[in-house]
Parts: sequence; C-alpha cells; structure tokens
Amino acid sequence: MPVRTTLHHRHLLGIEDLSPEELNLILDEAARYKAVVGRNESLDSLRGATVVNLFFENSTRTRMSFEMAAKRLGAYVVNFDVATSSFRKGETLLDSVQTIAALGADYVVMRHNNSGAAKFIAPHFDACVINAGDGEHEHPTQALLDAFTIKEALGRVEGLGVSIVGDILHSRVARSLIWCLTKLGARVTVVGPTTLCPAGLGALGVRVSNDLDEGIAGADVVYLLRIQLERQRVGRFPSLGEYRRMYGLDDQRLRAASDDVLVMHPGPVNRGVEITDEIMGRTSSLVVRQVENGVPVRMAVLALLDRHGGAA
Amino acid sequence: MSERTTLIRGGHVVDPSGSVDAKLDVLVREGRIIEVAPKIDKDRAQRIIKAKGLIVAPAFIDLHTHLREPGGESSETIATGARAAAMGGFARIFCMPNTSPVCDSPVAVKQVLDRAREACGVRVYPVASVSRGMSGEQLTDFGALLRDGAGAFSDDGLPVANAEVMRSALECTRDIGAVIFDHCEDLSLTGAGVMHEGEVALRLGLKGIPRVSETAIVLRDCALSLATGGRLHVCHVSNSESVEAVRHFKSRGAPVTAEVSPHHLLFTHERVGAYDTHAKMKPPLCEESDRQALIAALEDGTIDCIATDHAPHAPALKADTFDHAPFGIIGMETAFASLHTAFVMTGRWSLAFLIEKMTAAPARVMAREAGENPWGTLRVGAEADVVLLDVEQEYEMSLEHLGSRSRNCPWLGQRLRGRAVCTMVGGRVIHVEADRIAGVAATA
Repeated sequence: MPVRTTLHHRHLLGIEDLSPEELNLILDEAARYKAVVGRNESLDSLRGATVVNLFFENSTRTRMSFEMAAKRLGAYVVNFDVATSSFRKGETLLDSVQTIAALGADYVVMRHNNSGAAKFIAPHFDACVINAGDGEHEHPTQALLDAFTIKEALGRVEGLGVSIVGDILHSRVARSLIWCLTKLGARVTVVGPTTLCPAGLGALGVRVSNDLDEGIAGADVVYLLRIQLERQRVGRFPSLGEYRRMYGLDDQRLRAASDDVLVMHPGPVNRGVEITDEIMGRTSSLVVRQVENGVPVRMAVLALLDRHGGAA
Repeated sequence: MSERTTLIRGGHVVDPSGSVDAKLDVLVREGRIIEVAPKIDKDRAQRIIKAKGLIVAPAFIDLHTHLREPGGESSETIATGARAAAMGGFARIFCMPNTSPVCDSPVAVKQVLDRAREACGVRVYPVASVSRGMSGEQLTDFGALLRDGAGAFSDDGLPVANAEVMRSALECTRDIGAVIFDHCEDLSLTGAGVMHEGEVALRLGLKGIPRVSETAIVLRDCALSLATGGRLHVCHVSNSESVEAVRHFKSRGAPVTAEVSPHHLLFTHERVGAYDTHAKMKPPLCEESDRQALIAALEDGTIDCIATDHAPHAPALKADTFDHAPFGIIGMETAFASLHTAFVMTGRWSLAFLIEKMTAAPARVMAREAGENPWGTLRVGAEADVVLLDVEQEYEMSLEHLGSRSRNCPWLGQRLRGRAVCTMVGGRVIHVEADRIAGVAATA
C-alpha cells in the first residue's frame, strides 16, 4: 500500500490537473478495490455520505457505474437526471447548482454538455465535485478505467504505443486519455480525418496521423472511439461508408498493424462502422472488462478525494 | 451650452491634430475653443479648471459601442453607456443597431437620439442597420436614416451574408456619402465556435472559430468596396491575414479604413485560461503573432484607429459556462488606461500617438477632421470637447471606475496608469473627479 492514502485534491475535474504519481495512486487503489470486491467484503469508507449524480446529459452507463461504486462504499446515492426532468426550467446553471448545494451533498458527480462546466460549478460546492464528462473537454474516470484495463492486460502503461482512432476533436474521452497515457509514459498516436483529427492536436503531446494503416502500425493498443452519429454536423466527412473504408478497423488491417494488439472501445459500439463484427467478437471481452473496471476505479476516486480541503 | 467662459489652466496640451505638445492654457467660450496659448490671463474667465500636472487633450471618439437600449436594458441603457463613455474620456460615441427592435427606421434613430439628449451629454451617433431587421435581405432607407441622424450603417454581429446585397449597400451608401461599418465574419465558418481555433481551444475542448471566418469576409467586402467605390470601415480587425487583406486593398485604392480594439492589441487566446468568460468575444482573441501584426498595422497606418467594441452583458449572463456566456466585454472606461499602461508607459508609443488614434484618427475615418465643426481637435473654433488625463497616478481598476451597468471588464483588479479625471463636451463638464479637480462640478 502507498503511504499516501488521499489525493491532495477536493475535486476531480480533469486528468490534466493530476501528476503521474497521483494517477498511479488511483490505479493502485483501484486494484485493491477490485480484489476486495471480488472477495465480497463489506466496505464502508463512505458510510453516511451522500453522493448526488447530477446528469445534465443522459448517460446510463456512467451514471450506473458511479452509483454502483458509491453504494459499494456505503454511501447514499441520489440521482438527478436533469436532462429528462423538469428540474431546470430555464434557470441558469449557477442557480440550479446553488439549489442542489443547498440540499446538501458530500459528492457531486456531474455530466454536462458544456466544456468547463465542472470547473465552473466546483467553487460553488462544499462537496467534492467529480467530472463525469464536460462537453468535449474531459471524462477523467473513463481514462482512468482505460489505463487500469491496459495495465491489467499488459502489465504496464509506460513505453507502450497506443493509437486512438476516430473523432478526436470532439471527444472528451480522447482528451482525458491523451493526458492520462502520456503522463504515464505511453507514446500516443491519434488517427482520423483532418476534420476530426486536426494537426494542431500535436500540441497535446501526441503524434497525429491521417492514415489508419500508418497510424496503427506497431501499436500495442488500438483504441477506437465511437463515431458519434448524433453529434456529427453535416460535412465533417462525406459519409459513414467513406469513414468505414478509410478508418474502419477490420481483420486485415489489424493483422498488418501488429501481431498481438489489444483493441479497446469505450462503448457503445457502432458495429460495422468503426469496428467490424469479427474483431468485436474477438475483443468484446476486453470492452466488457473496461465496463467492469469502471466500478473499482470510481470507488478509488470517491475514496481518495480529500473531502476536507485540498486544492481544486 | 454654457454661456460662461472657462479657462483650462496650467495643463500640458497634447493635440495631435495640430501637432501640439506643450504646456498651454485653453480658453473656452460658448462651447467652443477660442484660444490655446501659454499663460492666458485668468481674469478673462469666469471659471478656472486647474489642470496642473494633467494632460489636456481632445476628448476621445469611439466608433464602436453597444448601448443595448432598447431591449437590453438589464445590461446597459443609453444613459449608463453615456456615463461609461464620459468616465472613459469620450465625447462622441457610435452605437450599434443590434438592439431589440433593431435600429433600422428613422423612428428608432430618433428614439436613440432622444434618450441620448436626456443622458449626461456625450454625443451619441446611432448606427442604423444595413438591412431591415439585420436579416441581410432588404436594404434600409439609407437616405432617410442619414437625414434623421444615423451616423453610419452596419449589420454588426449578423453581417450581410449575400454578396450582392452587400454590393448594393455599398453603391447606395456611396451615393449619399455614408460609411458602412463592417463586422467581418462568415457565420457558416464560425458555426458553433466560441473562441479562436487553436491550441488553447483544443486543450479546453471548446469549439474553435477559424481565422478564415473573418478574413474571407474582409477580402470579399474590400473587393466590393474597390469595385463600387463604397466607403467600407472594417470593424475590430483581429488577425494577421485580415491585416494583409486591408493593406492590399488600401494599396489598390479601395476606400477602406479599419479599426482595432484594445483587447485585440493586449490579449491573446491564452487569456481564456480556465474558461474565463471575460476573454470571450467576437472576433475571438487570436495568437501572439496576430497581436504583433495588429500593433504593427496600427503603427504603419494600415489600421486607422482604435475603437472599443464596448459590449455590456449583465453579470448573470457572463457568470455561466464558456459555451453559454455571451460574446463581448465593456471597454470605454478602460480603453485609454489599458493602452497607456501597456504601450505608452513602456515607451513603445508616444502619448500623442495613442491620443491621435482615439481622436483625430476616428475623426478622419468619418471625414470630420476639417470643416466648420471638426472632431477630435483643440483647434480654435472647434467645439470644446476636452479630456483631462492623469497619466501619473497608478491605481487599481475597480467597480468605482465603471459607469456601465455591466461589469464584464477583464481589467478589474489590475494596476493601471492613465485615467480621464475630467471630460468636457461642447464646453460642458460631463464628468469630473471632484478630489482631483477642485471646485468644478459636472453639469446635470
């Protein structure tokens, strides 16, 4: 066990704010929780605490995962599905947040469709704020569970070559993953058409490729992002068929890339677009493992945040 | 108008319109400047304004402000906007037509003028829209609007998208000698963008506004100006390619002028930092190389003048996520102070250069530098629009220095040097800091 058992942070707003040591602390703690949960031991580090899931944007998976994690640590969980309720009724985010703050909560897990939303609300809560996805900015717990899954499968993150394929520009998963993996010492390549994967991304410390075969050659991990059909504006690329031909992963291209490559996907998968059925059939176990690992990783985050102080 | 004679005594006069930069007294009678000379006899005046230790300059002219009335009174009114102008040292301000309803009719123009007359005394020039309702389709009645007091024409934030409509607008306004103020932006390229497309936007996950969104329209409209001879004034130039476009068409003889705002001269997209909504404006803050290009363009005359794009938004509107918060910051109270601190204090510009870009230069853009009622000058015979500037005392920019109803000012809390301590319009004192100028009250 590490000597330090809390993060010096009250909030988890983004991976960009964390040091490699802090990332490793979370991953180590998550490994401990995964083992404990497997033995069905009872845990109570959050007993008596209230966790509010504040989702301004729908997300069944992430919300359920946080709910499981909180309950396993003994917390009460209250779900606010703002997107589907009449809660907001045109009031400003700040007004909504002040109402919820007045109700009292120890942890607020927030998803919002505006980048920076978690950072914006954090100063207005006494509670710990956990960013469960803000616009196109960050989704830190997704990156943590992905790093955890890679480490579990390959024994390390440092020195690995990871290629992230798809709509990098609009993806909060990609941003958090880039920060997380580069901080942990992986070499990251991002792959996609210029409209979704612009050259400027190089400023984040990654290699940019607009060619799938070149971009995944020799990779240890290929991480496919969901093409967000619902978010694509007209004209970002000509058609899904064109995307599939140029950036869809199939067996042949995967074999050409490397002999022994791990394929990951944050789900939900568009079968037949970013990934073929055959590869999905072979790799689905890992995609399921990502979901499974979400619970101990989120338990670790909840348990490690410093409720009584710490920098943002 | 005051019948009294006022002597502004003991100050240092900086009047770039006549290359004046010396210790001189200024005598004002019946609202006009009647003498500028060393040591004018104080018995000739009923009122003395002691200007010792202060700079005496023509009061400033701002070609680009938003006063929000009618329709946006929770953010600003003509009265509070005029107060902000007076506190910033401005005597003449142009206000954009993107109000609700849009300023597109003689009635609307007259309403702005009526409300301005009830305000503190700053001269307000309503900019009427180019197209009805700023819809980009049917042109407004330029002649009638001009006759009833419109100062210029602009569809500001909803720029005319259709090139043929813009061409017609330039031809029609050329015939009556009016200027089109052009906010250059291709809204299809801007899309849902909220800040400059670049490294900072990528890191923050914010949608970028590509630089070509501005430059494409600068190029198109300068070309239309060259083709038609219509007077085009390019608003708030923000990037180096747009500067090049203006430079090219000026060299070809197009009747084009351009302005730059203090924030584009001072800040870059790095200023957005951690989603600071006081760094959200259109056009967006660009990169350091753009900022340097803008400074150089102002210095070599490619960009003619400084204009603030004073854009008030009520505090609750700016206290939101970056995506939701509206575009714009206020700027009249801080224009001189921020630029004086950054460019004059550091020795890059002379004081006369900065004052010129806020007085004689905008007067030239509006072709009002000469004639019976010249703007932006302390020449004998001109209307007595005078500002007294304290350029010595450093102070912390705080709410007490704001006249605006809004507070969306990125300079709050910063140490600045340079401030209007007294503003006179047509011989009437409309703003005065009582503790600095003894015995002079602003006329109600």
